[in-house]
Amino acid sequence: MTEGSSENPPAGEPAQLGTRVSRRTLITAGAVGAGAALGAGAAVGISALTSSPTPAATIPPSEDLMVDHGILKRILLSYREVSRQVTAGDPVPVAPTAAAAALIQTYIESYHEALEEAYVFPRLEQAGRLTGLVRTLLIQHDRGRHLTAGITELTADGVRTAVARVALTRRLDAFVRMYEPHEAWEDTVVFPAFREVTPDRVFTELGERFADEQRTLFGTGAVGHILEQVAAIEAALGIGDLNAFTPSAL
Amino acid sequence: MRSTSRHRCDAGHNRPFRPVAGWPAAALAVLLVAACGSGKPSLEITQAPSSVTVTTTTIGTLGQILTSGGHSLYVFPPDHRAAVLCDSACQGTWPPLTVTSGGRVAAGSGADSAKLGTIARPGASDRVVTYDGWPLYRYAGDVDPGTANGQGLTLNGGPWYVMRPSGQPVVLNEQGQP
Repeated sequence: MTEGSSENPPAGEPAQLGTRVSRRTLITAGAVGAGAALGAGAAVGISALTSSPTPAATIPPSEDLMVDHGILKRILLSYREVSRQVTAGDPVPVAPTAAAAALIQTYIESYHEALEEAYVFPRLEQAGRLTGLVRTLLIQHDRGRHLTAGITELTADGVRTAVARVALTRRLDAFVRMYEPHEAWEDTVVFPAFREVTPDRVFTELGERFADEQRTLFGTGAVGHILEQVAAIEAALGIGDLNAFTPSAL
Repeated sequence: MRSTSRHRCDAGHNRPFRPVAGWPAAALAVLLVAACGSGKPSLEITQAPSSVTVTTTTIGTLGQILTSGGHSLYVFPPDHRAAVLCDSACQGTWPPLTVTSGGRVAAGSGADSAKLGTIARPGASDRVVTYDGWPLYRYAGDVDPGTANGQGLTLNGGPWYVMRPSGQPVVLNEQGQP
């Protein structure tokens, strides 16, 4: 993932159609449009990703995908926290939930998973490697997209009823339960196999292709901007402080 | 594995079980078309067939829809019957139904041969099969024939729909009925 200077419009500004649709614009319109009240700038530890004035060397494609998995993992933490709050009878945090689902749809499902389906899985299938696992991963991508559609629909309606609250937590829990092992298997089994079956030159070209596609779809500084949105969601849910996850001495 | 050195901008088309979706049309047009044109060597690993048959299958509550090789075919409204806007990684999730330039496109049972055609694929020498002007795609989530899991999904910038033999996209009502 190549990072560089930011070229983003002010928060909430519409996309400049006909010129270029940056990743930030998409995220602003798609994710935080549903939760603008979350605010921005709550990111912690993202300065290294956003302040570099010169593009970094191309990152290997498998590492690029694993960074995306880190983003997904943080959104799963938010989903789990939403479910906990709703189950405890607290008010439904509709805006951050909607923003998280929009990030999943625009970044994870429409970009990250598309990369896997375009460039990773076909190479494994062609090499006759992990075909059963790839089939399961494809099915899980599809199930995830339908769960996201359901979460988006429920939050759009405001999750106003007890039935809707239960429906929301069921979908959030199912999503977390599926994607935690999903991404763990990809990191530990699929991506290493992908590296093994991909010649060095092609592997390098894929890293460049991933960076190109990310820039084209989301603009420069993409990951940093995504992390800003994730951090804003975490802050809104009260889980924005990593230190709060540290147990006291037992 | 094969990676050609030809300059093409696509990925994974015509793989056995794979197919992709969309946002507002104008945004998508920029977003997806811009993704092609990088001039980078192709990283695709499959080639378009020289012959494709589009037929129909009755699938669950959706009724009779267009299929090819047992797999449901989808249309992407932002294409506006004029372009293939799903490009690059998008084609990993929604592989276009392609055929070699000059290849044969045939109508199977229930499909109207007069509605079949092809359209250029950006940066590629092969063609995307069209029906009533709509570029046709498959969906990666249809891992088995006879499914239409991509129906109604909003992804990659817009909604995706299966298509009737009449050329009408299948849009479901709030009760999930056609």
